[in-house]
Amino acid sequence: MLSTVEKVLLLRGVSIFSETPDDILADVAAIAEETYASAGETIITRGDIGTTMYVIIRGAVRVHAGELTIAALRDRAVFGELAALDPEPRSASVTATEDSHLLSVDHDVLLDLIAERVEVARGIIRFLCQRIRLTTSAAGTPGGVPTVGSLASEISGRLEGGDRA
Amino acid sequence: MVRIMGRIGGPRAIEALAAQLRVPDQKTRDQVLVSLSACNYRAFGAGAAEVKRSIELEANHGARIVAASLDIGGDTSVETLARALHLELERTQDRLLLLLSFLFDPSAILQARRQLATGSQDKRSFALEVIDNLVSNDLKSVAMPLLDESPLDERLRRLAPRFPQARLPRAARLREIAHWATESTSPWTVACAVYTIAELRLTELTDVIDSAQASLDPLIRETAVFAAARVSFVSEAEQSELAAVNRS
Repeated sequence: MLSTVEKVLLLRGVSIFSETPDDILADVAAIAEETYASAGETIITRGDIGTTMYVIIRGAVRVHAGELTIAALRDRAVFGELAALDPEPRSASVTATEDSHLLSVDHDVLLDLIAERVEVARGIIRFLCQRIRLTTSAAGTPGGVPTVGSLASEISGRLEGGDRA
Repeated sequence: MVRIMGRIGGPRAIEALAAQLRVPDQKTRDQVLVSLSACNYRAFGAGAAEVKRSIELEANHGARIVAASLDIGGDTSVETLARALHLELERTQDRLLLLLSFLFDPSAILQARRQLATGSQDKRSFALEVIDNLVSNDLKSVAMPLLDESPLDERLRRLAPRFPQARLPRAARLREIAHWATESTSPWTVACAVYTIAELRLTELTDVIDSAQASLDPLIRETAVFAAARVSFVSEAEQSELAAVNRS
C-alpha cells in the first residue's frame, strides 16, 4: 500500500498532470486506487470504451494488437492516460507480463475532483495548451504536420510556378 | 462562499472579505485575496495599514522558507521537500503581489503578476522593473528580495535586517518544518518533511513522527503513520544486521 506522498511521486510522471502542482496532486492521489494484475491477466481490451488510466507501481505489461506487441512497459510507465479525460474505444490491449501493482485514476472520479478543485482543471488545461502549442510549432517546421494555410500557400506557389504534375 | 463573494462584488462583499485578510487557513486566505482582487479592491486608511501588516507577515513567512530551502539543500534525497518549499515560496510571492495590488496601481501590478508567473525572462525582468518603480521604498525592501530572481542566500542576506532567520543543520530544520503550523504553511510541505525524515532514516527524529501522527490534518497524519512504519522497519533491519555481526 502506498502513502499519498508516494502516489504523488508516481502521478508526477503522468503527462496530463505534469503542470499540476504537487500539493494539488495530493488531491488526485487521494482518489487514485491501487489495483493488482496477475501475470497473463488482461488489463485493457482493444475496442472497449476506456475510462481509466494506469501507472505501473511495480511489474510489467505488454501493449499489443492481437499477437503484435506494440510496447513493453515497466515500473512507473503510464498507459491509457487520455482515457481518464476523454473516454474512447481502446486502440490496443494491455496484458500483464508479470504480477503487477498498479495505480489507477478513473474518468468519473477525476471529473468529480475537477468540479471540486479548479486547480486540477487549471493544471490539465495548461498541459493541453502546451501540447497544442507544440503541435502547432511542429507544423511550422520542416517535417512537421502542415497547416491548412501552409498547404494552400505551397499548392498556390507550385501552380504559379507551372508545377502541375 | 469566499469565491462567490468575489464574483458578487460590491462594498458589502469587499468589507466582509477585507475583514478576513488574516483568516487562519491558508487556502481560504488565498481565495480571500483572489476575491478581493476580482472586486478591484483598493485599500486606504486602516485598510491599507492592515494590508501592509499582511505583507510583513507574508514576507516573514517567505524569509523562513528561503532559510529552510538553504538548510535543506537540493540533492535527490530531499527533492520532494525541496519542491514543496519552492512551491510554498511561489505561493507566498503570489500572495505578496495580490496584496501589493491593493495598495498600488492594480492593473500594472496584476499584469506584472501574470508575467512573473508565465512570461519569458525578458517579460519577467520588465515585470520586476514595473514593481520596483511602483512600490514605496518601505515595502520594496520587504517584497523585492522575495520577488526577484536572485540566489537564495542573497535573498536571505537582504531580508535579514527585517526578518532575521537562524541557519540550522538539516535534521534540526526538518524537525522545525514538521512543526510548522498549517495555518501559515501548506499541509503538503509539512507532510513532505515527515516523509523526508523517514526517507533519510533519521531515527533520532522519531519523536517528530510520533507527534505528527496526532496532527489534525489527515495528510500529515497518514504520512506520519507510513513514516513510523518505515523508520521502525529500518531500525529492526539494522538491529538484525548488528545481531548477525555480533554473532559472527
